[in-house]
Amino acid sequence: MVLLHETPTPKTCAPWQPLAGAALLDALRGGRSSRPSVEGAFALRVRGELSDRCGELLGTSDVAPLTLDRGTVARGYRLGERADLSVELLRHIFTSTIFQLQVHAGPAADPIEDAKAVLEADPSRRPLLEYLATLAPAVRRELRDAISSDARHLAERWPSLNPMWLPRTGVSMAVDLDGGRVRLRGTCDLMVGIPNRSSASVCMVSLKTTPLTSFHRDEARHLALVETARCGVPPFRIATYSTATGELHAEYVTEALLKDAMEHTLAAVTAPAGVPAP
Amino acid sequence: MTTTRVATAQLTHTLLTERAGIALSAPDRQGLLGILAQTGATGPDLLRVDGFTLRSGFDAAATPFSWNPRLAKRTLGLAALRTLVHGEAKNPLEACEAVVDHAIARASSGAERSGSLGSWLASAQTPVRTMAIAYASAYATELWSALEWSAMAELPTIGARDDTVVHRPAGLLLKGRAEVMIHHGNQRAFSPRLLVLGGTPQPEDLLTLGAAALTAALADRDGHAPSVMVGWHPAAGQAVVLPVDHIVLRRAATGIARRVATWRSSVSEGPVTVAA
Repeated sequence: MVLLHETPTPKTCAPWQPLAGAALLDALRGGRSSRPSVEGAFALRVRGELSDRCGELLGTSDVAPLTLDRGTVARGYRLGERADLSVELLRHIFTSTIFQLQVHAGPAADPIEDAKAVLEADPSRRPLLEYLATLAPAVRRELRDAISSDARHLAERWPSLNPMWLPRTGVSMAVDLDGGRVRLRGTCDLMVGIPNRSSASVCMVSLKTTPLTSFHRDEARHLALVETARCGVPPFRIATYSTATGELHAEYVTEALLKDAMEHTLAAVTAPAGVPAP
Repeated sequence: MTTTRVATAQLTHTLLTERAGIALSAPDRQGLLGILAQTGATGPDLLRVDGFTLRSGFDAAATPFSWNPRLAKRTLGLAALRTLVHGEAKNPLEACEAVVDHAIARASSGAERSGSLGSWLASAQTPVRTMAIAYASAYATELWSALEWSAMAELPTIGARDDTVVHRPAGLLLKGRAEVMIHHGNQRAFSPRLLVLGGTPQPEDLLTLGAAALTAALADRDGHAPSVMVGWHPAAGQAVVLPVDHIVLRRAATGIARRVATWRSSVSEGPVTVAA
């Protein structure tokens, strides 16, 4: 038998282009018309199983209540309750605000000023704006350029969402486990789809201002787990979108994905603060 | 007195389950007012007791109130939910936009007092209004999709005026709220009430729900208490269910009296009060 090897013909690839408009929307929705199978009974068990296993891991030890958010779990170790103020955090909060405004009212003429007006109207954002005022002019210029770039990309690429799909931004989630000894919490930047008690129909989107990494995938999966524990119904799709690069990572939520997210979360329960889990 | 926890999917069934309600007799009422009066008024002004001050402390009421998008979400979201449930809007976003437009139109025509939500919206910058709509729309969507409205024989009352009780001997102004009141047939008495609460279920929910039930019973002309109080935590997807009986009301009165007495003893002068 003679094995014939065909020499591959060199092909020229078109340069990668970020998805935009209808193509981005299609990628968010996925190609399937049917819902992926996450057994209803399994989804309903998620909260109880997580709680039981947290109890087993913590035993009878008298530990302070533990709060795990998506960043904590993705990194495999626990950080402080609040993220430290940083230029990166400022960029993320400004860009998230611009995103929220765009989802509800379309792209703005001056998105940065609009976001600033919104943040100024929220007393809880005062420390952030005070921190902004302390930045050196060159750092502020750089930050403004980065946020402008994020805003421009969002305006150019992000599709408008039909109000009938019930888009909602900044959705908070918090689930207490093991009698409150562990709290899972998270905020979803965008949820689309009708919350349904019987079948998965929600797409959860996380917004990032950095290139995407595997951490971001784990963060999105953690959010899917918290949503499943909260509602007893998993989301249909989870997606992470980078305003810096235009990358989109989207996937269906399956039972295997949720089980994987559960193991990540449980690993973070036993990881000492500030120390990566093995 | 027992509470149970239910998932969001069981909310409608929990609210629609028929339960016997209680009505306060005159001695019952006097007994509850007597417990509250043990705190003793410290002056002519009234101390506001509601879900907010019980949760955040009475000092929190000293901060001057000013609207912002987060604080506006409940009022706007409930108004939007009413239009959705009555079939006057197709989706929460459009419902919220219509509510905001209406509030601004009223303020522009001089129908709103200064400091009202409408006045604030009328003077707010466009992006701030958009953010208020965003928060309200998310709030309305959560509540709209949490209940099976078609299962209710009669449309519930959404965002009714707060119950109010002025108790001068105790120097207290009791305020009780409910986001949704369910009606069984034409009966308005003993209506089950749904309160939307933040965060996750906590032991303090018992006092929050009990105080709201107590205020409702004391404010009702016939002394009817809600048959059940349901504190729903949308962020957690869980609700705390408190069937209301005489013990619940008495414990709520005692709990309030204790909180007020502790606070009053901790402040030597200048208590946080509201004008009657």
